[in-house]
Amino acid sequence: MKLFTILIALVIFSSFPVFGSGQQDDSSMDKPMMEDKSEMASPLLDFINMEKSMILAESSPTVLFFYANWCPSCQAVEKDITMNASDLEGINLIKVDYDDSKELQKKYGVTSQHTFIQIDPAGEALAKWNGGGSKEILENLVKKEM
Amino acid sequence: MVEEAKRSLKTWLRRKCRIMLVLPFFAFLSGIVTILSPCILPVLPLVLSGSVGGKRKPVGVVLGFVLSFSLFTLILSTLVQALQISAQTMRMAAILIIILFGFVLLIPKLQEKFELAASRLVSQKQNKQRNGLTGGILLGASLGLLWTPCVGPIMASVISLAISQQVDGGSAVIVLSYSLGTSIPMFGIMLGGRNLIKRFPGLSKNTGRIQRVFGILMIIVGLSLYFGLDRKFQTLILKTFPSYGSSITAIEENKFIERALQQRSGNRQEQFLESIEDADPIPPPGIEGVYNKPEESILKESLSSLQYNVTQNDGTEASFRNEYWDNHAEGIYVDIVSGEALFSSTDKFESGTGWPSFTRPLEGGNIKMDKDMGFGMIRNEVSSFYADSHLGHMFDDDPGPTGLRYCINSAALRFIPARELETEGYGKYLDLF
Repeated sequence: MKLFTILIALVIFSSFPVFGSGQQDDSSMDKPMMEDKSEMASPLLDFINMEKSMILAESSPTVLFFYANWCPSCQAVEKDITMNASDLEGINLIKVDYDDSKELQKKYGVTSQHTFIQIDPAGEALAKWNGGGSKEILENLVKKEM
Repeated sequence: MVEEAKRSLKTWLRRKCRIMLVLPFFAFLSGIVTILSPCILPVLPLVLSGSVGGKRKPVGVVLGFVLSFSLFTLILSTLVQALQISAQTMRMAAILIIILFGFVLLIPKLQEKFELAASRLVSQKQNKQRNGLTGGILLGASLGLLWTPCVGPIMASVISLAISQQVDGGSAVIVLSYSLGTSIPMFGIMLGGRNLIKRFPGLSKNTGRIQRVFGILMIIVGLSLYFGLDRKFQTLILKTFPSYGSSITAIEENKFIERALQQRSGNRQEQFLESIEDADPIPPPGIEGVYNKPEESILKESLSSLQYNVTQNDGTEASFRNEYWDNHAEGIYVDIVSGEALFSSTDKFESGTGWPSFTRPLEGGNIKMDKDMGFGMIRNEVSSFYADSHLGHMFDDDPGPTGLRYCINSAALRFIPARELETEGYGKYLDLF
């Protein structure tokens, strides 16, 4: 019985330094971050409808990014994508609201937030992956050049 | 000799160990700390409700959770596509069960009936023992579906395989380790709650009242999940503490895991490539023995300029404007120069590139691979064995079963429809279709 109490206490305790340092980190990073953001606009496009996305897919690789406001890793990725925008040039990244996209989720079998689906001009999935940022986008993308 | 064998065995073991142990181990650790993740916070009160009820309820909750979370992580995507019910709708069903449980705790009469029914469900004889195991399993199973943690790279790799319908044994081991990790603090919370109630006489005398409090708590949590208040709450947390969630998954961000994950994803391709490297070239069905490549001058005459340019000068035809990129007919593809069998329509897929694409060659031995350093990238050039015709390139970026994509020029191929296989002398491939 005691063991469990100790274990729980340990887990909670060990997370505090992480928690605290995370906060500190962010406040010190706050200023340059803000400047960065104003200089570089997020390369993410907002999802309008499937037709528009399919038209985009005709000319260059197009990826739907199932995103949620409440998902911490999604926000980290948005920063990462903004920072590495030059590597992702020519790729259409479309932000889809995870909480408001049941039909698309049924179509592609999306079950959790922070999921990427690359589509072809017919709207079919070419590649599917979960998690990761700009590096993983480049790794998982089915390239158009032969 | 022996030394060498020992050494190679050692490196092999080390590699296997890294994949087999590192990932499950860190998944287990992540599972333990995930209980603190902001994505989980809103459902934590449900775990606490396991503190009241039959003696074996905590065991039931943990058991139900481990099984349901593991199973749903692996097959939910397939279910969603097969049943055309979104994951959120399925979660609604779990929320309704939670609310029902709340009412069961809130109304004593309902509880009696439920526990009786639950234990009858398991065994006719034990219907007087109210140990809460069955109820716990049901609660745990619902929790498993509602448990949508903010995952790190390891679980993300499993989910990636699951949504691409490529679950393997390794993913099952990882998910199981993760959920077992989570079940430790879960079990701890429930036992801790029980102890607290036992220790204070004021509490233990009023078990009925405590149960009702937990009942109301469950209903409140269920309703707030139903109306999406949990997501609003998480958004608020994230705004207040921006790096809270990502610092929890930070334990997975190390070189060890990165390498192990890479090895795991590379594995399928390596295994497949090894299997085709050993394959022997397939001689032609006739009596001559080898496929012949006609003289240069004859080739120039018999092939179109595009076909000549592609097969002899490593050229590339235009995407989409070629003969076979969207050919869905059944049959095999042979070398336009020599006729050696190369690919089958059964391995052909829509890659979106506008070139015919295959997951594997029909005869591994009839394919040669070379590194090609053109166009600012390293590509694997694919050519035919006998005629040495340039065919196209192989890429390792495909999500399909082999992880490979053979991107081939239509101009290097001749298509033999399934019904003409016999007359063209490729009768041995008939049983493919």
